[in-house]
Amino acid sequence: MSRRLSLEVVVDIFWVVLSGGYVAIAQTYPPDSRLAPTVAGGTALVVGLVQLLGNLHGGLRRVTHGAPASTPERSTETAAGSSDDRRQLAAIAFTVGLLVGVYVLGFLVGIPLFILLYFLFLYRRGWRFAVVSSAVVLVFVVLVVQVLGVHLPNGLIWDSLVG
Amino acid sequence: MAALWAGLVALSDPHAILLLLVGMLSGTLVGAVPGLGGAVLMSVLLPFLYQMPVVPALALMVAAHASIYFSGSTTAILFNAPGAPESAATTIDGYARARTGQAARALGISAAATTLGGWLGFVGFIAAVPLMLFFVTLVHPPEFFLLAVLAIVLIGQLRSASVTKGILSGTLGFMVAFIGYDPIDGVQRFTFGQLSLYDGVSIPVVALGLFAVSEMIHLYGTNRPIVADSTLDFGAKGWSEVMRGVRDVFGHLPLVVRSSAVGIVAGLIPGVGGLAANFLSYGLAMKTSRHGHLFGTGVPEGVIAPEASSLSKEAGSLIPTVALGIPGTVHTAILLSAFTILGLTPGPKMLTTNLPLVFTMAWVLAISSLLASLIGLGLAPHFARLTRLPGPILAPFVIVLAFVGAYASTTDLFQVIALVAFGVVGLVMKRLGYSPPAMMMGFVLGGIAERNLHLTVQIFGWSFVQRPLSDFLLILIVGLIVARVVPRKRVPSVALGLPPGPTGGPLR
Repeated sequence: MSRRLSLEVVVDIFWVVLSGGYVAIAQTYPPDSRLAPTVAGGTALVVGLVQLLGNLHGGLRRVTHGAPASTPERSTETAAGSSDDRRQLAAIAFTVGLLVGVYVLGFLVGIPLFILLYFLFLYRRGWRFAVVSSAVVLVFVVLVVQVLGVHLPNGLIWDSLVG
Repeated sequence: MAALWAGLVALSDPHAILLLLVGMLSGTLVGAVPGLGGAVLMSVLLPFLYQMPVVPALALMVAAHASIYFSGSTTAILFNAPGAPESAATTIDGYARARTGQAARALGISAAATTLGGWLGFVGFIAAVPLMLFFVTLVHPPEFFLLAVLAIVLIGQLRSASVTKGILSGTLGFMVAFIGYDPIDGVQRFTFGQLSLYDGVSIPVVALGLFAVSEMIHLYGTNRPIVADSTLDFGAKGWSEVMRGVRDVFGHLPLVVRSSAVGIVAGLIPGVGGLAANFLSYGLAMKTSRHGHLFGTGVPEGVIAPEASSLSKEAGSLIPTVALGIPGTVHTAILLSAFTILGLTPGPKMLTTNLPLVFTMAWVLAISSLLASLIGLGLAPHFARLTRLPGPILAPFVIVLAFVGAYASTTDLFQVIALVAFGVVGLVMKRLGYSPPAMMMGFVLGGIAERNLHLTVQIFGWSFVQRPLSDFLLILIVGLIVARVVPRKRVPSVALGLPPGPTGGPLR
């Protein structure tokens, strides 16, 4: 089974499990509250089952996977070239790292630090580029705070130090 | 006519002109920051309205709101990151066009279509005022619900490989929309005790995650610029491309008028406007076009349709807002707060004793859309250069923008976690041929659909099928689903002047 098809089957199974669980949880709510979730979740469950069957039964593929000429090329392939899975995973990891960074260190430290580390280690552009980019982003974040009056969180470390 | 003229004369006050310009500039700047958008800006401006005269205050609010659309579309076109959630529909063909090296042209289309749509909305507003009260009584809960489903089905056909994937995308959006407090009984649903989920997931967070974050992760993976052909010279061709985009709009005037009409009508119907109008006009354009199957590859109509409805829907939504006190969009909901601060009471009285004030707001909408687009057009070729930067250089900046925007709009760090989660969801959806726009649509319309489903069951039961308008919508929905499975005759992409993709077919 090709890698894309196996990912599809996994996602289709996930659809069925998710929507089944969704409908089951919805039944614990009062009648008026469960109506819309039951309709939406039930629709997703039925269509999800059809989608899953389409991977196994050729007759359903036109409905579940479109006509062969209309099926898009691998969505990760574009005119710019194919998107490397490992690079995407690295980008996701760094994004999660940014999330952890702003949670622990706050926006004013976490974001510039992310930019600095990104251009030093992930997409290497040298010290100067990294520092200038980091400074520009810091100025932007400060502007947002000042102009919009938004209080950005200081982070776990700062909050625990201040008490 | 006297009231129309009086509304314009009221703007001749220097204070009003100054605040109109301030509102326009702030809207243009804020609109370019993904996740912030008109609602955030208008909320921030509210405290400044105290002690302000009525006309300048309304000029500030309406101008700020009207100006976010073009700059929001700029980021949508250049980075697939809608500056305002309403610009999500523009990302579909706008970004695809930018990736062919014609970002300046797409920006020219956006500016011209937004302005023309705004002016048509203004004309429609004037014409609709006397008809408003009759029209809104035609649409009842069953039609509201079916309109929401219709919007999902229309959009589910965009960039989804199949009928089932389109429907699944839309229902996933509905399922996410039902997280949080139930609007009927106030019951917490699917929150699992998490305080941050009591109000559900925020619209900017879903939009930024599905469109901006997912695209930036994908772009990093390609390690190439947004525009594949780096030999394209924006410097020499920028302005001519912008004007080419403007000519595209004037070459599709019937589409502009149709899309503006959709926007006005959607704006008139309380609660349906906003994002729904843009996607509805996009879907309608796709269905009525001779080469609808090429939508999503960068066709001009795919940018013209949502852009033309952007401001016209705001003009339409002003009518139920001022006449009934029922906001058509989230922005007019904030405008209602402004009315309260300024001592204005929406209702039939607004359309009689305060009619010049109502027309003043419409004039501000029209004038600021024109000015914002002119300023935007001047900057468009320079904005377009950004698409030449390698993806891995752009990606972290846009992701940071998304993080800041997500937090600024919600002041909740949990929503930033949701942003990343939706980014991954969007990436997987695109990889497997699902439709992020349909999911976005389902999410936005989930609340409307639920409220009206509940009312339909309570008031009409199954007898709603006896309503002609409901029957029409039902037939339309079923027909669209069935038609998706039937093969259609194709028009070669070269006939549209679109460059072929790597395999000779249209770009995806």
